[in-house]
Amino acid sequence: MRFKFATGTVALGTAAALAFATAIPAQAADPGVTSNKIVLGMTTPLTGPAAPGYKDIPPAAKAYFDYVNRNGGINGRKVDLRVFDDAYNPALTKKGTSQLILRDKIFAMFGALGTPTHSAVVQDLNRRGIPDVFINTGGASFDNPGRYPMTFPYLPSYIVESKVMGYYMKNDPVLKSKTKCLFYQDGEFGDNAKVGFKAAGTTFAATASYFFGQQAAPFTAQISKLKSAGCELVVFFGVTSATIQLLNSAAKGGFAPTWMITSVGSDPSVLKGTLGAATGPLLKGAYVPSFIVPDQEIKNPYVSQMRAIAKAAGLDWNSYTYIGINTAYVLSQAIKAAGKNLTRKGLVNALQTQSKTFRSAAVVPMVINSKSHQGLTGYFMGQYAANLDLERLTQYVMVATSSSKGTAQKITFSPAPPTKKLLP
Amino acid sequence: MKFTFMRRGIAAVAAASLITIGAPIVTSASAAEACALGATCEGALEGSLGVSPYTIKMPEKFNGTVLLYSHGYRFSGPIPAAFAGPAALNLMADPNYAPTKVPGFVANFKSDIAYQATNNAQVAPTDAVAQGLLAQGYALAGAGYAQQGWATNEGVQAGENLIREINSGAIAKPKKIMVWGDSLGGLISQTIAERNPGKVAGSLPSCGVVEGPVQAFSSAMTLLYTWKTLVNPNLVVANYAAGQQGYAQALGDLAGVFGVLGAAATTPATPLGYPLLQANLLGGLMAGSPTVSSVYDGVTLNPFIDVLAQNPAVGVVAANSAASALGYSPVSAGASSVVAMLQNVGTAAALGILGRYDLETRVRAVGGFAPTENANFNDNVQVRYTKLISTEQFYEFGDVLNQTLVMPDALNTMLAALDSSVGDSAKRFPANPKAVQIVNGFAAPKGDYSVPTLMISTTYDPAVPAGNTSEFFASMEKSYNKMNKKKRGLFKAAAFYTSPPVDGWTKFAPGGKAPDAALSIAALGNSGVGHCVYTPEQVLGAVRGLNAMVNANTAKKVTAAKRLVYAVPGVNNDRMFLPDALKKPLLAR
Repeated sequence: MRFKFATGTVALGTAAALAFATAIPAQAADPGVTSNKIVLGMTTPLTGPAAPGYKDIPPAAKAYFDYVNRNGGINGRKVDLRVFDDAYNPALTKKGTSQLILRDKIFAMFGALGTPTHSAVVQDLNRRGIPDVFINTGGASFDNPGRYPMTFPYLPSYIVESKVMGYYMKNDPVLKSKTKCLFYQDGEFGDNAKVGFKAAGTTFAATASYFFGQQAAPFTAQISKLKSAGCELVVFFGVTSATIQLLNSAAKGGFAPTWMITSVGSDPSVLKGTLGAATGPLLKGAYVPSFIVPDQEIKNPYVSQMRAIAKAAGLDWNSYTYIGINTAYVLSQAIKAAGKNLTRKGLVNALQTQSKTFRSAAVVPMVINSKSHQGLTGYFMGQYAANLDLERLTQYVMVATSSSKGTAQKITFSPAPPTKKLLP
Repeated sequence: MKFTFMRRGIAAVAAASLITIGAPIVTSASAAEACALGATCEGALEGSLGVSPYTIKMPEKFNGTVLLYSHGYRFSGPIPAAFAGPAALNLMADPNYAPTKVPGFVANFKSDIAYQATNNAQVAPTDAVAQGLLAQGYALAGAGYAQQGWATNEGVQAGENLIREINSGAIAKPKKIMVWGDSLGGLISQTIAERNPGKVAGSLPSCGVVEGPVQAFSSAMTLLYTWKTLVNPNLVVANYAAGQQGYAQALGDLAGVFGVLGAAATTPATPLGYPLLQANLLGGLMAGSPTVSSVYDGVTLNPFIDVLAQNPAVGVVAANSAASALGYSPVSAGASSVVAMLQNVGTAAALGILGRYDLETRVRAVGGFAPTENANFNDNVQVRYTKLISTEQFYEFGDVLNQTLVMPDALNTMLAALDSSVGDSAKRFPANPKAVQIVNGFAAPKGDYSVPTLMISTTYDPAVPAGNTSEFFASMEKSYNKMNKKKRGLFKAAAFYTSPPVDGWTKFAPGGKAPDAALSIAALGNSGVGHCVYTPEQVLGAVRGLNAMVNANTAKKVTAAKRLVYAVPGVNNDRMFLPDALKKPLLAR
């Protein structure tokens, strides 16, 4: 199976978009769209314990939209992103989403962050017919066009990630013979991971878990269990604050296995905030899947241009600003593809019919159609160096679906280059 | 048939009602004497189900519209004083309950004092509302019920008899009668409206348990079965024994729930080894109880967290756990919801236990059941409880449901324990089809659109979830859409939901480790949270809206009538708002 974007496909897609746009019957404008403006809403933690890292996403997305606005907007409309700080509290997410809908009269939600938080509002957004685009969570449950026809994940799901990890561990000559163990966060992380590993045929000599919030204290019992089970490779599925506790607890317990850590739990900039100089030695050698060009590859045309936008806006360049700009870039292309007569229905159709034409720094294919809203479909395997650069170990990528069955597949994928000036 | 009308003050009315319990004034009439303007008139009417007292209050200047009120649920049996205080059922201050003595209570409840419901008539939910309506010129009428408990048959009969009485001259020259009622009274008033479209001009079921008893008690069974499986194996839950033995069992269940709830803060694990707070939250979620309460808003965290976050030695990331270690609460939205659910489950369990006992007693009486015959009318044998927690709830509350040191992977473990008995009639509660048939035969509205209907509910109701209102409204809409387009006229119906007065109503005294109930929603203006808890303006606004809707003769005027209600402070004016859907165990198979 080979995924390749061709210029011809892009041209065809654009033609199809225009044809679709003209096919939409004249109707009253949807909320949040005027002749010169599009209002988008986002709920995300800007304060509280979950804010470190994630708080960098909204200003980065805004920086990109400002850049687009300075260059004429999207089909002549400027993007106005309204952000509500939900502090990663589902009750606040409800309040904020309601405010964005009723007071700000948004056209669409964009990049809403977190599974517990977004679960609190996803049904209401769908019932109201509000596009809910590129949510920031790997929760596999959101890819369900039957239940959530307006919701579009962007990140690969945790099930996809565990399938990819399983595939890599099975085929890597160094890792395949190691005694493997799993340490996970109870709930969604653990449930999704177990589904993916089961589908991948991965078995573990021992498993341990923690509950969200338990990472405030050392993982002494869990580390002791994994150590006594003779674990040589520990796969970790949890949040970054738990990764900090894990690495600390393991170091104190004299436990130094090979680590394989979920992509959402290993951001070096957040780890450094707590672990400081110890981050490099502790994280060195850890395997981490990634779906995007590593952010230190500043010669890459995506990275260089996105980094320039971040710097121009006075933002730090880290994985969160990178993701914020990248997803804003993809959404902008979707909005453009929806045509001049922008409607919610048109945006959904553009996403479902033209996603293959959207450019981004992701190095894995994106799948969005009427039957699947999966978003990005896989990862390459990376490994942290002592300087905290993520080195790409595989030039191929491993793709999978979020189904409870089926394994990851190895493919080669050549992403299309960025659009001119990184504009939609 | 004979009538007795009296002009009395309000205090005298209550006293008279008490008298009627023992010695009802059995009256009826061929032509009633009209109650004079400004007067309060009382009487009693006899029907096939017994005698019901009634009260009519006339305004000084009558606007022609009579409001006939049906009151809410009153417990049928005596309630031990231990459960009647403000921290529990709060009956001591309720004028519709009177103290009595039950010597048999001493052994289990340390006192023979109990509170017994009266059959008082009520003309409005509160005196403030009554005065407001009288000032607007409405005549107020209301009937007590011949029996208490799930007295829908008695309530409907009492209301219909009172309508007849009013139309026979008890009120002079009424132009129209509109029915209204709270909670069980909402069900009763809507049933009266459906059955008497020619006599009733409009209906206002408020916080009504309008989806009927099977739905209401199946959710209660979900809650109590969860408790029996995860918390307290000694609960009887359903099929209580006949007679006084069964009432003792029901009171035992209530004590079993209230006792555990009272000690929840210091009891991490249940006797069955499950995390208590999480088990209770799970049961409440599956039963459709709200995750906010009058004290806990699910949003506001203890302000001391911010103090700790400012402290460089603690910092933002560790502030919540540090606050928790020092005994400050709540430290997360999940923790707030957990405690809110403790409050809400107490409310839901009281109706779920004592109401079920009462209904089963009625089933036994109507069906002529032998004492050992199964009187359960809610079947949970095939219920898969995992299906009662939605995907969204599973993830929204997943972290907090797992947040316990009592056991790993608590959520999945608890769900597995609940579902391990699917199909096992010995461990579950099979229903007796005869009992189901009898309960389904008790008076209840069908959901047909018959007269202009305005519904109102609090958004967060722990006893009668607001989904009753939204789903009943949807049924009416569906029924209207099926009606003959040429004959059906305008669709004059609307559902409204009240919202909390502020976004965050959890309040703390300075330095308080836990929220201060006295400073919370009650102090901020009750609205949106609790069972049938409204501001007087909201009730008056709903009546005003219904009256305008009844009088509307164009679609524009119907819309204008709705606007009257949307404009009232605390009424959610989001036209697309829908409360959480009802949980339906019968479909979770």
